[in-house]
Amino acid sequence: MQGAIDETVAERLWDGQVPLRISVHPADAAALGVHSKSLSLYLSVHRFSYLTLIATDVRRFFADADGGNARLGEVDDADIWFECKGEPLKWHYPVGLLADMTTAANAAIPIAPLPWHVTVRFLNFPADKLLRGHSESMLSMTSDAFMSMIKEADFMRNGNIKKVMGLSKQDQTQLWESFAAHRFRDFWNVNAQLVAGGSEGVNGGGSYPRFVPMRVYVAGCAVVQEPVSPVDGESDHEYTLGEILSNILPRYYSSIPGGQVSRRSPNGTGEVTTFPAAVPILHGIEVPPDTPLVWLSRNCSYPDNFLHVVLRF
Amino acid sequence: MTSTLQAPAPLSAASSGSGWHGLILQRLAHRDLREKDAFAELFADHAAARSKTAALSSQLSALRLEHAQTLKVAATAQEFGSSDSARKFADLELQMRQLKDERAELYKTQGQNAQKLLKLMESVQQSDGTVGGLQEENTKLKAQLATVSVSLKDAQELIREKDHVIQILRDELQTHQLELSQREGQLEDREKRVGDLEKENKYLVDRWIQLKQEQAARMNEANEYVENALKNKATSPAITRQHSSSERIYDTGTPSFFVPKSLTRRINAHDGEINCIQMSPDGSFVATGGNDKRVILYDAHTGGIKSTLSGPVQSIMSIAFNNSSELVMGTSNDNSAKLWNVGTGRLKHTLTGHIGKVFAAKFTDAGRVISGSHDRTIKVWDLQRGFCADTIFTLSSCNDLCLLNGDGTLIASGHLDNNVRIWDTRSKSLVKEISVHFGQVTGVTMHPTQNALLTTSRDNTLKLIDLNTYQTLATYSHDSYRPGMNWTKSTFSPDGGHIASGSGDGGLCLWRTSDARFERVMKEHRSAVCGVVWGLKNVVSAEKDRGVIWWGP
Repeated sequence: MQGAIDETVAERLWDGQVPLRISVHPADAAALGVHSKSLSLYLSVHRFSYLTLIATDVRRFFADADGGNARLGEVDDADIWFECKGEPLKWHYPVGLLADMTTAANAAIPIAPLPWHVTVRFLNFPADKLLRGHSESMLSMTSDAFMSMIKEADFMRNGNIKKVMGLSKQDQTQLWESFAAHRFRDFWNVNAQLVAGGSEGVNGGGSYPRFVPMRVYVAGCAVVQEPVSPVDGESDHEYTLGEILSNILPRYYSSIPGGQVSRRSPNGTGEVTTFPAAVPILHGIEVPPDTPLVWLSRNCSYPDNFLHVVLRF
Repeated sequence: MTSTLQAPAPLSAASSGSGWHGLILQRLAHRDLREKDAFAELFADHAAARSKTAALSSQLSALRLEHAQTLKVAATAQEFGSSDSARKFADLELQMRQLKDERAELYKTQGQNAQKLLKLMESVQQSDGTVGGLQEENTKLKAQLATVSVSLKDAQELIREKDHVIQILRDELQTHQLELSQREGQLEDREKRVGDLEKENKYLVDRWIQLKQEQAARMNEANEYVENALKNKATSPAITRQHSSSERIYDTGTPSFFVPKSLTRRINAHDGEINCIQMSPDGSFVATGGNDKRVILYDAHTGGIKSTLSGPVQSIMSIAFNNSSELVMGTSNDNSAKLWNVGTGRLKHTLTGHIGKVFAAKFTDAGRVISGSHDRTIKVWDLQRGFCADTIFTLSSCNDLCLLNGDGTLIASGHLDNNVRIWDTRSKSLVKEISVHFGQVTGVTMHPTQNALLTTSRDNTLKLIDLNTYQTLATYSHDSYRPGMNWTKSTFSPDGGHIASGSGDGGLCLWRTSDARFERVMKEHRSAVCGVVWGLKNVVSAEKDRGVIWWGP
């Protein structure tokens, strides 16, 4: 039972979209001579998609909207980057994750205003903060990043990447192309081999991965990635998300509903203060802490097979 | 916790609204409602508006373009309609008329120019023709020039080669001339030397003639003296070489000897093969020598061994006594001859100088020794001074020699090349070469009368040669006679009436000298007989295999 994919959830997640309002940064607009400064592009983007996949469309829109701005038309796709509130957005993160992170960073407003405002930039690529690609290869770089995440996830689950490497060349290509073209069936035909397959475990007929591919994003902190075992080896107890988070991030999370955590305040006074426990956000929703990690990993992972959980305070 | 763990059970029922699963679905639905559905239509409208705007803006830009063109057309139209333009028109017409006139004039000039042009063209054509001809000629000349220059180059090269050859020839000529002058110098030298030699030759010939004349005078003197002496004692039948006749050789009669018939004594004294035997002139000793490098002296009458003489380092090949029987000499294969005192048995001289085996040696009356060797020389030794006085080159190895007179001025030698040669030891000249044998001459023996020479040869014959005429007087041979060695020696009976010689089969053969009749063969030896001596009282022979035999009548 646990091996099957919960298609209701999966399909809903697959179709999840974020409304974006994209505008040109005033500095770039001045430098490039874009007249329609106030013009914005309204775009509903799939949460699983990447910013690089829409970069070309965005550039073309602004070039056309400005009555054929030649200089904008000449901008290299690799030079396009996005920022939100002055912070560069990592193109190798899924859009949904970026949205969640932006929302989480805004602790004051629990529900982010929509549409999400993003600024597109054509100049001054921040090479110190973002990975810089080459012209014409932005797409293949994104696909490489995506595939390497899949491999990493496979390694964490199985201790090796035989499953990914065992895929035929056609399947590997299909995995990315069906994702890029947003074809749910084609993608899952291949991805099911990586996620659902595997030998039957000794415990209750289910098979547990060695570790769950999971990353936890804490605003203002580094990304946390720990080897997370989904099940207690002695008691066969399947860990819930809450248990895991309180294990690996006790200073930020408590599994007790409405519990509090204590840590040194970030204002440098060194005092130990108590804060309300953080809320795990995934795919734009608050995940119930009692959700079993195995189920979550299997059904709620991003297409790169990772659980990207954002902690919101 | 346990209750939440049971929650996944109704997973298949997606509608389940309870527990975390339901919560998730619910929240997702809510999320979509907020994020997606709320904006779907708005965004669709936005897209539509966007496309509409794009279309409108393109239309607008097209209209703007049109407008601008229309404005331009309107401006030109306005310009044409003004009063200024009428005046301008009249001006222009005037200008036009003037220009037409100008044109007509220009046409005229053009016609004239055309005519001129035609003429020019004609002349150009003509000059073209000449130019063509000249060019043709030019190319022809160039080709000729090229060929000429090529041949010139060839010729120059030829000349250079020839110069080179001439240089070489000159050099050669010079060297030849140099050589010629050298040769001429040499020729002159030669001619001078030839002249000298001719002079010398003439002088020598003169001297020789003088000497010969002196000799002849002396000879005549001697003859005269002898004739006188003969006349003085005409009663006695003396033996002289001048008056010897073959008859006389055969009838010298000294009766006190015997002809051997039977064996009386046999002695085996040597340790090796015996090569030679000799009897002293006084008849008291017999000596044998052999491969044991010793000379053994026997008492000729008793056969007792008197002494053993040693010293040579090789085989003894011949033995000789001097006239007084005081000295005995053995010649050896060690290229030397050794002289011992017979009385004391002490070594007196060693004559070294030959470079081959010494096969024969004889004492002369004049205190000299003459030796013959396989080194193709005969040497004359002075015993007073003890060294070689003369060397005669004989052209062939000498097997035996004998003196033709007492002082050894004339000697006969028997050689390996089948010849017998007569030598004058004073002038060292060959007197006569006698070629009568067909095998090498092993021994030469003088007839007691000194008028004839007996030669022993390996052609199994003995020959008696007259020393005056050098004719063969008699030949002695027999079926059983076959000399066994290259140094086999024969002997005459003391009166010269018999000849004894040993054969290779051990037989001792006897012939009568006068009519060459074979008398008998006596077989007592067991091996080849190397020599036999015949004295007044004893006849002794020696064989190769150590035996020495005394014969009796």
